Amino acid sequence: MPDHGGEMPDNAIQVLTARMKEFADLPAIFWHDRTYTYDDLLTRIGEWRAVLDEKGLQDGAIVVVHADYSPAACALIFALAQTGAIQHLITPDNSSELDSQISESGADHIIRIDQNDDWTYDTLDTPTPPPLIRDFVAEKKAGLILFTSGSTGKAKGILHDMERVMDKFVIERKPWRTVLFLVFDHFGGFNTMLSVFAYGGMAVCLKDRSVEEVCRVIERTKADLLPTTPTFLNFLLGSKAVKTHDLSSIERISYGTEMMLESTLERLNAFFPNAAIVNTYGLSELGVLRTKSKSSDSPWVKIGGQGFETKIIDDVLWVRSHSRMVGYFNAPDQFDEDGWMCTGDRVEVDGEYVRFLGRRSDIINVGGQKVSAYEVEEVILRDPNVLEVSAHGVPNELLGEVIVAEISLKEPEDRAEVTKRLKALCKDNLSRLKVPARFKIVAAEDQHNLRFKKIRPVAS
Amino acid sequence: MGSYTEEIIGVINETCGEGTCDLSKKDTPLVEIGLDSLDYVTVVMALEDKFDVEIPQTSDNDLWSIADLDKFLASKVH
Repeated sequence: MPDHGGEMPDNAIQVLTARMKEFADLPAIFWHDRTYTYDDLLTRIGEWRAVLDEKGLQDGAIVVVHADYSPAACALIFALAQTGAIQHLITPDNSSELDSQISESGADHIIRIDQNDDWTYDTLDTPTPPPLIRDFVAEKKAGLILFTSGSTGKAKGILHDMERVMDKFVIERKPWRTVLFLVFDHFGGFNTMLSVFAYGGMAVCLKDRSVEEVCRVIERTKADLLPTTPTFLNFLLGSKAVKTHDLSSIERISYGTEMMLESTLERLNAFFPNAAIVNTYGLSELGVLRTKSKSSDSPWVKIGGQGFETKIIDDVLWVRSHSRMVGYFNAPDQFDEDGWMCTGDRVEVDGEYVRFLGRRSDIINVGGQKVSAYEVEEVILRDPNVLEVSAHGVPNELLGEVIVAEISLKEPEDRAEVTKRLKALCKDNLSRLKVPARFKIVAAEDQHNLRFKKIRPVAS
Repeated sequence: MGSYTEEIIGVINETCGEGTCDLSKKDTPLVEIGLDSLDYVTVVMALEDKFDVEIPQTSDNDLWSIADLDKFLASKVH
């Protein structure tokens, strides 16, 4: 039994903090080529608690944490959770959204942590928080504010109850040396970071999210878990860095946030034959569900886990979750009266397993017939010089929509030649309706957002 | 034959396959010489790409013929 100093923890935040004391001199964080232990992390948490006391930041305070993963930032997360504050996370990459986010959340304090892990503190002159947050403040509970990426419209502000978020980590599991690839101010990244510290793993921080940097830190730290996106994995597999670094320490690659193409999965298994490749599934509104892939080369997964229920209506997945958000504070709620949320993700079912077919918005309507963007992309990716592809619909007055494929090449090539070859490839492998009417060559960096999630232009 | 006729016919053949359309009917809308709506849209977009011009889907609400496309390209391509 863990020693809690005679005091039994009565909530998840205390349980996780108490457990970190047991990990003592184990490595907790790799940051800027230095390793920090759990003792270091706990010392930093204690220092933050003193700062928060001095500034009067206790329960009910709404505090913007403007930072990326670092020893100071990770410690601050726990210190704020312990005090019962509501923390609003935003990374420097999203600084352009800082003012608008603050005006919506009503945060009244901001702590900025810079690239050297130094911090500054300021108070904010903001309007009264929205009713949802005001009511939560009155309950004096620790909270978490995140914004969705807004890829399909205005970014939605999400309030989570921190205790509910942390509760799923109370049951002990295997520790991992985890590359913190998923971003700090997104639920997937936050969830990953908590899972590292809850189980005594090591958080491997990146200087940037380039393929080169990811390969470098894996080799350097012998990281064994890489949670990432299918889009990044495509870039990784098409890179030179993957061949020049020792990535043999990787035991597990988890992917989520978008659909995995079977061709990418095949190449991934061939390159990492000893790694388990697993599909994860989560939404900022609901939390991250536990998943079990049928096998490493299979896109079929069982989803659920403690605190989650699932059902499928008209091929679309619905989820009810214990760790669901308190609510949106700038948009209408998306839960039905029984607490179920329609995820918008289409699935195919085979017994206990499901296979994700993409979102409703990934369907292109050509002449009244529905085409999956993924099916088109799957074929185009077979071309040896295609690094990444995004298929989407563009409005057409005769057919409703036609398919345009935006491609990025590994090596420069004449556009007419590529178009001719890819059209032939598509004609050989797809029905006529699914052959893109146009191929556009675009820069690789324009194919994904900062989270390495594919940017699929929406037909307007 | 206009100055772009051969290239238009080349794109049609590339899209539909040689010998599948009656290319002698230059003034007849493309959809009446053997192209279906999908071929039609694909040909128009391929010509846009080839000549770097924007071509409306129809010409004054009439579907394009080879001759109409030829005239349009002659007026737009420099």
